[in-house]
Amino acid sequence: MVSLNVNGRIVDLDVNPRMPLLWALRDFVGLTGTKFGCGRALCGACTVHIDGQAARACSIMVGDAVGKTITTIEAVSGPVADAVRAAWQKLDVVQCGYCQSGQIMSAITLLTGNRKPNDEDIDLGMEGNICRCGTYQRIRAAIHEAASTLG
Amino acid sequence: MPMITPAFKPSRRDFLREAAATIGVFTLGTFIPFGPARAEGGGPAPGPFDPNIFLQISPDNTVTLISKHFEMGQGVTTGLATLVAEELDADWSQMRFVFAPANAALYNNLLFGPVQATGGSTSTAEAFTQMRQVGAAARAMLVSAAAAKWGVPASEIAISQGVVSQGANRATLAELAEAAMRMPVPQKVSLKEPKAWKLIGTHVPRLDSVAKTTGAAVFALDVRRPGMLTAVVRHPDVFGATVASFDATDARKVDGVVDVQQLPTGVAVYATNTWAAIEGRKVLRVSWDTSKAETRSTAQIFDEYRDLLAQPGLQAVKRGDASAALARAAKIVEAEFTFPYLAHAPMEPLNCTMELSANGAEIWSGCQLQTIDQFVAAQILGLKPEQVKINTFFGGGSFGRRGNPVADWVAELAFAAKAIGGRAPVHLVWTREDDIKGGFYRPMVLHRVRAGVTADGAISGWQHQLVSKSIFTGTPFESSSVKEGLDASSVEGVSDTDYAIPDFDVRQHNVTTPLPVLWWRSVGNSHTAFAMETAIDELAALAGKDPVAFRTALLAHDPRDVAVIRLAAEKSGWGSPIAGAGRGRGIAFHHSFGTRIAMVADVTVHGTTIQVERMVAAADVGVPVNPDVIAAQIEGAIGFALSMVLRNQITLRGGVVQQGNFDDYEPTRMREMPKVEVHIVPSTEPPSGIGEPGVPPVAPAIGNAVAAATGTRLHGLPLGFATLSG
Amino acid sequence: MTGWISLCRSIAKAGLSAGAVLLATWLTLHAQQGTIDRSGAPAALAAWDHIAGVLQHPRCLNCHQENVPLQGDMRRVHIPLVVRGPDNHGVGAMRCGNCHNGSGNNETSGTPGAGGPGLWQLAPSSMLWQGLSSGDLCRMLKDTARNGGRDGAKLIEHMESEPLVLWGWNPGGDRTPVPMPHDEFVNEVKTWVAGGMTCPS
Repeated sequence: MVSLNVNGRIVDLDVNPRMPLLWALRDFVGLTGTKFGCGRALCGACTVHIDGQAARACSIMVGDAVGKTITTIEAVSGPVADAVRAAWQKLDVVQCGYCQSGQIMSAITLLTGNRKPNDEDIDLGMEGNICRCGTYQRIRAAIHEAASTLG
Repeated sequence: MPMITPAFKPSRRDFLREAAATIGVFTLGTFIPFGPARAEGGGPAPGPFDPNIFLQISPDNTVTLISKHFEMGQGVTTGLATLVAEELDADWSQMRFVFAPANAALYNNLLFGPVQATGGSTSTAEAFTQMRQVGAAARAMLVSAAAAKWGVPASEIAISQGVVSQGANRATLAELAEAAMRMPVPQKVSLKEPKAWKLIGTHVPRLDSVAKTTGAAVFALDVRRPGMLTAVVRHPDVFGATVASFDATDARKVDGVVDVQQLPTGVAVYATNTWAAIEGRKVLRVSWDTSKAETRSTAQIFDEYRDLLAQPGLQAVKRGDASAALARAAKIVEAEFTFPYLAHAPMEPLNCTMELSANGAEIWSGCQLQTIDQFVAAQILGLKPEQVKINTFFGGGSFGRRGNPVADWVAELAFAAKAIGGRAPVHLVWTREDDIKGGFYRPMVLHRVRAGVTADGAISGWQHQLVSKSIFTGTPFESSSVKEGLDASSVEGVSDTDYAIPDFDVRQHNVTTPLPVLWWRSVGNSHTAFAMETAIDELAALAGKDPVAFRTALLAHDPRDVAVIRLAAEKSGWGSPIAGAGRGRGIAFHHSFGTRIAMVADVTVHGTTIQVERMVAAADVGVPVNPDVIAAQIEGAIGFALSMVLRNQITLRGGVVQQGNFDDYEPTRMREMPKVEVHIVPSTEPPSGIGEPGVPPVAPAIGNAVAAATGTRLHGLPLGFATLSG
Repeated sequence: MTGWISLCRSIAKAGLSAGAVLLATWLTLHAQQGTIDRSGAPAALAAWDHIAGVLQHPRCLNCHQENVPLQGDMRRVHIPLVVRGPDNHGVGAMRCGNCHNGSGNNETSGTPGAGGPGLWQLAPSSMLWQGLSSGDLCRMLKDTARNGGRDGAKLIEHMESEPLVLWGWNPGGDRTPVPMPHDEFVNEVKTWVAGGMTCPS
């Protein structure tokens, strides 16, 4: 039995501690907003927050997440999260949308640590999130937009 | 999607009547192939516009479009809803959508015949009239209901932003829906004049933005069924190999693995969760029969391609006398262009869930060709197509991969479900490695071009040979799409070029290989535009002409072509100097899927690194139904195509694909995305495609800019200063 | 995005020198076949050659980089691109601990890990080994101003028990482990320290 703190509730899972957190969330906790894209920490579709920091759920193992606070796209909240979501919706960033859970989780981490990121900060901070539809221009604009609404 | 209680409901009687009308007449031969289908060519057949088929107006006053088209990011659900809402005079905030069930009798693509299909950049073009008719018919029925309720003439009733009114009378659409659905469906409806449009041509927020920013959007991979098993399949390393034998002893020992079965495509490991299936597959031992497999390497395959150039090939175009015109040309461009296999690599790996019952099969999937998937699954399972129910979900990208004429992954799932006797729902999941190594690639292509110009700069002869594997041959669509061996999609973009080339000779050489190929966003245009636009640029240079002026002179017969080129040139500052070492500017134009797009690229070349700084696009798509979605599709097409320009290639060594994930087949990343500007030509012409036509001009615009910056012409993609490896 | 361009240049520099370093490592490892004196400064020098061969192995060198770590035996630039950042742990949503586990290698995703929570990181900027000659590497290693204040005993302890050092012998996936048994390596370090930490000129 492994006990995880996911979105503010404690879940007890009968899984191997070496299972990637991604599959524990998707197949055992039932939270499917966190996506499987590459399984190798190359694309960022599986980004969640662990203790408030972006983490790739396909690479972090369940055992390494024990005792920490895990937040997924379904529950991420607060002024930064609200500003990011609002900017994403205002600019109609999404296309297929599959990567966007991860993009949003990364953008929240970026903006939490840096309220006024410049283009290079965005390039480096968002490097790990691939969008095959190519929505990068709008992601960049939405991050700037969210930064400006956060003041 | 929230549950919606329908007020408008498709009537069972109509359903049965329509279904009966089509049973037995389904022929794939009437299918118009994806690639060459052009919106301008005659337009779609008339379709049903009964609101009972396409709309639900609920007690909560939401209006839900039942979308015949699949949403894979292209914005089609927003587009179809815009058309309906426009004629219905609904308020945009009340619009919703759900995906239609698989039913080709009701939800067919009017350009494709009796096939429910999303592809070929046809959706807006095919549904433009039909969806407006649906909205207009619903409006008329609501007006009739209001007239009856209030006892006033219908002519006095207005609808605006979802409110029905007459004098002091007011009603919401929901309040009238119950009565309206009992009104006769109008035999004929009239549509608004373009100048009366309130929504078409404006920015309406995408209907899927909220669900896709909250984690609520459900993709096929998110489907969960009680007792569901996840299956992953070990495929061979080389195409055309088959299972000789396997040993599942270790795989069965992995905690969570419940079964292992041989399928025609490999060996499936079934488990109670995804990780267990993946770990079980790792320790599976399979030996393969490779006697019929493709075991060559990329360079060897290109050598075979080159050998074929000595053959006459299949004549695609013969106009004038190219040979004689080349003989009298003052200057000649002679070039070989190479294009690698490309994987689609949508972010959501292929997957699909199936449940078998005594009466048939049910599928949960994100797919472009529901009708084909139904037929393929039915054939494998010994069912009738109508016994296969398909639930469509959001697609996490596709770029053509989720619409396959042989429905490869649906077929694999049907075999996987059958192999365990349907005792549990099965979710087939491909990993990223399965996707990158799994074939159904954009074909590997070789072009050989000889083209000349006269001393005064006119084109004097153009010989063009292409070598590739046909996409359509061997599929159910062969009879309609391949004429005497020539697959139109192999040469589209060359054979149908808009450039006035009086002496033109185009030949195609087909190759055979067990390696499966498929349409990849923009199909043949994904390579032909690069060859054409690079050669045109080289001819302009030989002729001493400005690249913009050279093109517009050759396209003077088509003012719409000329207009987009001039618009892109003007907005990009064409003609003004571009300062800085290693910097250059290039232009390209291409007409595909009825849409004309010109792009100007600004690049900087540092050593062997190409940095694309800015792309300015001008597009003529006919009526721009959702200008912001059109801009997004072009921005996205640039981001998508940039990876094929800069680095993506699938190569073979001894038949084994050398790439496997996003490290060695790496899509464009944030830091590489240029600044993109999109300019849309105002138009009232019928709308044409936008999902694909943004791709073709990207590579040649960048290549031409690199040539301007460095003086070096790169004849092939990716645009590396190194040749293809492998 | 000029910052990106300068970053490209620093990556290109690292990449260009990688092959040269591998060659130097190979030469070092294959040149030490003769009989040698195993005491004092000559012994330390001989031991150093073996130590250098380990330190210049991709398992060690890939993270002793200026700004961007390298990956694998082919020593490619880390994909996705990550940069050092102010605390050697990355920037923004691209921090080492986002993917690298404290409890060990993740054999499903292929991401290496070791040492406990949040330990995975780029070596400090004072310890950039890429492109150094064997002598310069040696002098850097024993310089307490640059090596984290470690004297000989502390260096031995570091090489003996530091989790990220030990990871070099248990790298997971298809990565080549450091090509010398760990206990032999520690003995070489002890010999080098005992011999006065002598460095090649």
